[in-house]
Amino acid sequence: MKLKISVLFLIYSTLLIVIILTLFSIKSKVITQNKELNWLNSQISQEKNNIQILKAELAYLTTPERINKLQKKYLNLKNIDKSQYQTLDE
Amino acid sequence: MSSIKIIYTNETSDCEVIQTSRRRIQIAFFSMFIILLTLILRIFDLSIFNYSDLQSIIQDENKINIRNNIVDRNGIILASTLPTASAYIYPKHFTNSSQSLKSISKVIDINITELEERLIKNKHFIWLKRHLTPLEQQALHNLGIPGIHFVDDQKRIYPHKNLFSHLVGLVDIDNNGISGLESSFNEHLKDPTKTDIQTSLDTRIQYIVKQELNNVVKLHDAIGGTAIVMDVNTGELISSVSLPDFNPYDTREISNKKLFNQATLGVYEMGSVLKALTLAIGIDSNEINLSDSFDVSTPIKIDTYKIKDYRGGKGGILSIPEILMYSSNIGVAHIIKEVGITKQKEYFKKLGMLTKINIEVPEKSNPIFPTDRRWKELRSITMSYGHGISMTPIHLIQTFAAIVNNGILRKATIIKDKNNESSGKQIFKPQTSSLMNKILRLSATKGFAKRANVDQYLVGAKTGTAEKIVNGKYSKKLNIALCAAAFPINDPKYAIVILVDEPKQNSINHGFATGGMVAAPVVSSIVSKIAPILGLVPIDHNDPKISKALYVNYKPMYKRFAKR
Repeated sequence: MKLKISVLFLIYSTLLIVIILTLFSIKSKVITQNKELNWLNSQISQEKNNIQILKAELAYLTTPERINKLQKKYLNLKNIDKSQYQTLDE
Repeated sequence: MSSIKIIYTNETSDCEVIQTSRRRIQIAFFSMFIILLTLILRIFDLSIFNYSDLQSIIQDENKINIRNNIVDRNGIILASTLPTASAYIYPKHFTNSSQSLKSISKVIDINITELEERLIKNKHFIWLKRHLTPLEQQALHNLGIPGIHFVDDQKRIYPHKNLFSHLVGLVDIDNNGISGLESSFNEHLKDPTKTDIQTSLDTRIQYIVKQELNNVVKLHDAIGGTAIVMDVNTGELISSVSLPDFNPYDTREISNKKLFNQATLGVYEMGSVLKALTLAIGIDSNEINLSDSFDVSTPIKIDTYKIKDYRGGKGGILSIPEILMYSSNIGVAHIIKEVGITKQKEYFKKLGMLTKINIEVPEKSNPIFPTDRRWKELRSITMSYGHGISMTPIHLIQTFAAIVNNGILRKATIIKDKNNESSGKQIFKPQTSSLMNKILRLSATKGFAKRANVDQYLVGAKTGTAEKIVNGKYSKKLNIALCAAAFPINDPKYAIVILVDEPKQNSINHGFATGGMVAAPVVSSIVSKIAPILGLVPIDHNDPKISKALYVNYKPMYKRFAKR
């Protein structure tokens, strides 16, 4: 009877220790992966910010006002004329 | 002796001692087991059940709510947000303030005396400067002054500056919308789960329209003006310019005049442009037809008031198209007499001219129109040629678009794809609309709106001049020059309204600060520039097919202009 109890106790306690250890390792893994996730998330938001900045920059560079100035300086384009159109059957 | 006795007496209790000690061990073991169990449960609790809580906290920290963009119909950014940093002072750590402030002022632009005052008053928190540039932030950081801290901030930017200032609107320093789309879609723009707002405006068209309007305002020394281009098939505004405008970056000293969006907030008497509407109502209600003609040689007298024509009533008898072509007040007065007040009111109501416009900005005005008691014969006649009723230019373009677009009224919008096919309301019969288009084309080729004409895009137009009301009286000198047009008129796709506020008489307009002289040429120059961008192919107006489609069977009776 006494032996039975002590064996049972031994089994239970080892099981307990094993469970605690696995739980601990799982948790520590989760923590490291969470850190990684955080880092990636912050990286994503930073990249998004950068894209936002670049888009704004592009919008500045392609304002009609600026393009018009540049074309006057380098290309001197003129408005399209009726004679420049041709239909396919002509 | 006595000790032996004790052993004896304890012999029976020996068992009890062991039993109690056993019980104690059991209790200790049991309590230890309970503690262990709670610990295990706690581990489970932390690692499994609380996991989601932990995650959500992390996510909350990561979230930086960047305000969504406003873009044009092609995705070009009209308003965007840049992440910036703002610097603040924690006064308790900020020692040697005057010395430090001096060195800060070398790096960034600050007001030292004001900051010193605030440092005395506030002991916990003072903004040093909002929205630093990265260079400024680095320079400030390099100074190494204790007590200066940075927080993440964001700044709204408008790459096109003045170009969309009225419609896009403004935000305050904390990025809350205070006018225009920024205000009406404030919640949507703040919500990170929602996407950008796509307007129906086109940056390229807007730029051209603004340039042309700006030129004409300068040319005739006007105080302002507005120009609107609308897609008649969807009700979407492609462009809406109001001058004078403002620079959204420099909002401290803007006058109210500049902040005022004349397209949505300004109410004006629209003058002769409304004659097109009167004619459409007349034709649609079958009260007049093409073969009718009216004698416009004698002014109409109502009580003490005389309805006269602008350049004297020498027209004699005019056919229906000629009344519009040569803009006869007396002519439309006769038409509206045939139509009657009830029908006029009914059409005005159906066209939404008596209610606020639906456009998505908060700056909107109510039209001004007479009450039922005052809507009598005289008022009905003056309204037939655009006096006695005031509305916004958006009202006008909406109405004009309904006349040319098979009679379907679509509410003006600046949001892309908001109106669908079914959202239109049939106001006029399609036949009325197609006849009106032909008459509008005549007005642009032979009538007063000649200067609005561009032959290869078949412009149909009606001009108007309204006298401004100064101190309750019509001013002979202060005018509003107007022109409403649609193109290509054989199958209208776009409508334009030009309004020039107070053009002065000068040598360029030969002393006529009128719609035909001032506003009509703007239509012509805008159409010839924007039509290729809008993908319209030039049309040969001499093509027999086109001439036949636009042919109006009427008998020209106008003498004075026939000679010219």
